Amino acid sequence: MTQVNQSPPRPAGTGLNQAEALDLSKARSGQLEYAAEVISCRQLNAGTFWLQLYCPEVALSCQPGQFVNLSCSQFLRRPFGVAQVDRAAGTIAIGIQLKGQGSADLAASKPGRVLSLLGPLGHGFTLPQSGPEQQSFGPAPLLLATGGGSGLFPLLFALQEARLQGCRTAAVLGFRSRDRVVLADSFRAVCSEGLTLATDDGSLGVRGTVAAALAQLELSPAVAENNRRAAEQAPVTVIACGPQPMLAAAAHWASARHYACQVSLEERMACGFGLCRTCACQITRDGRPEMLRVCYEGPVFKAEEVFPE
Amino acid sequence: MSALVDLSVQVGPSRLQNPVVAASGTFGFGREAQAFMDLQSLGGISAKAVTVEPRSGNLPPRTAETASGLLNSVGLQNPGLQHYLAYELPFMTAAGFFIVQNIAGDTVEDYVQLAEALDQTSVQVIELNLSCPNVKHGLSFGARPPLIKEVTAAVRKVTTKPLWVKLTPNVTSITEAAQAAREGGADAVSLINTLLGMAIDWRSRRPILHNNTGGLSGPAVKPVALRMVNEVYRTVDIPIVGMGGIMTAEDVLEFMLAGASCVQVGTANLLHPQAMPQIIRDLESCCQEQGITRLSQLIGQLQLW
Repeated sequence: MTQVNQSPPRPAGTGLNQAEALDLSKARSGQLEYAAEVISCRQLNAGTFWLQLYCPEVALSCQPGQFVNLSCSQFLRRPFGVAQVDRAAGTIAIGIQLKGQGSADLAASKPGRVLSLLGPLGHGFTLPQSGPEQQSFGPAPLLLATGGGSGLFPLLFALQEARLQGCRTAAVLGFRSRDRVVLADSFRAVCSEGLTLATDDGSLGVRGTVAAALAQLELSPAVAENNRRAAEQAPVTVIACGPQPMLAAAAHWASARHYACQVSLEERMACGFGLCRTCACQITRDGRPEMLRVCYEGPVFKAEEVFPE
Repeated sequence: MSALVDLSVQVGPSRLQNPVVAASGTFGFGREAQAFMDLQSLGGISAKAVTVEPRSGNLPPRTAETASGLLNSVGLQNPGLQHYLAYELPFMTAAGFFIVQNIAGDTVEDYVQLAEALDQTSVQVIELNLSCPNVKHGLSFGARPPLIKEVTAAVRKVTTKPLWVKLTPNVTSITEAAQAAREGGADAVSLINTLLGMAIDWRSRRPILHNNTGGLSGPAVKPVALRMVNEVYRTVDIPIVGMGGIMTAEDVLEFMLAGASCVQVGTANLLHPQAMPQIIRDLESCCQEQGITRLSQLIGQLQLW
């Protein structure tokens, strides 16, 4: 079997700033395969796990919305949106939802296990720009993240990054029921404008789907007026990741308010880096329907490209 | 330990620096892989099938994992001949690797038109895809020896390029298919394309693939491929490009012993970006260990019981 490029040995202790010493250009040289060491694997609820990996090159170069493709006990790798990055520690984290044998194998990982990792893969979210000039002329741009299912994980990384860049942040997350809710505190910590939870059975937060919660959502006063002028004054960017109907609802909601919206798609894929064309989805780009690869041109597309009027 | 191993192979009129060629449909036109691989280190690249008109391919899902393999039903998605000539071929030419161009069509005229268009180009080999299981007429050519002969002969008339005819394993007799390709003027046969298969999601009571069926590849098909390569090697006088589940240098050696002059690596590329460069390095060290100075000495050296 193919030999995996070795990551540098993990520095002892935590909080070391070793990762920054790595040559950034090397991390972006096009190397794709890394040996990623499992730091920890923590159960979040009955079917959800939080896997932390040491892979400093990917931690350095990974952008929100990108994903990694991990080897497991099964024939194909399994793709996961990157949920958290600690560049100083050289680690990344992903959320695993149990679906089959591959996810179960990864969820059973013990610290020290070395996985072959391909990444960072795909085209991620474009976060709102928060330059100093924008801040002096009014409120900072707002990033609103909406998601459900395994789609919520990459949103955490996007919100975290947007916060670091000075954006205001909010999230609307949907779950089946109260006992399925995960990472609420982590999301709350990176949402300056609040976190809204929705559950299908109403056992926590808004009863209903993400669409129902969005319908009730009141953004902060600066952007509450649903007109184009307000949107221009304090730009709102909506990002969505989750099941297709949820993406459509988020796109529709954003479009009605003239907010820019990006959606992250999921599709069955084999390679994850553009070779096989099996993950292609119909995308309308430049007015023309095209079959574009979720793994390569995506997973993040403009909402209007996925849901043309 | 000998310092040098000659990995080069002769496939009909073509000389390849080593026997490892990327299999069509698993490597695009080489654009994506150039970011992480020296394309010139490969024996060659069989570039994604080109059709006369652009094709958008099948609706997703287009792939399903199976035991030791995967199904795909991409459906020959490609930008079409004009775009290929204007955009993909110049890239491949500049990249400087050995170009095998796979072509596919619905009619004999399609294949003739494609071959004529490639005849005066830098393409080194034309590979006739007579065996795609994922398009309406894909199997109709490859499953009928008289049609294999007819389309091969028609293409032979319009180009002097070496012709590899890629055959489907979904036939009663692979030797009849290979013989027909030979009679039509093929320089080699590529064995095997994917095996037609199906994967089912019992919960939704649907096939996983939107196309219902797809082509099976990966280690799951290797024994079938080895048997077919050896069967054709023993009965038909034509060079063989062997493929089917090759993941390692050992797999390459097995195919060459069975009778393959060179091989194509497909599914392995999708799992391991460095699969082919690694296989080429390992082939060299395998040969050194065994005291083999010329890899091509192994072709067809399988001793049957």
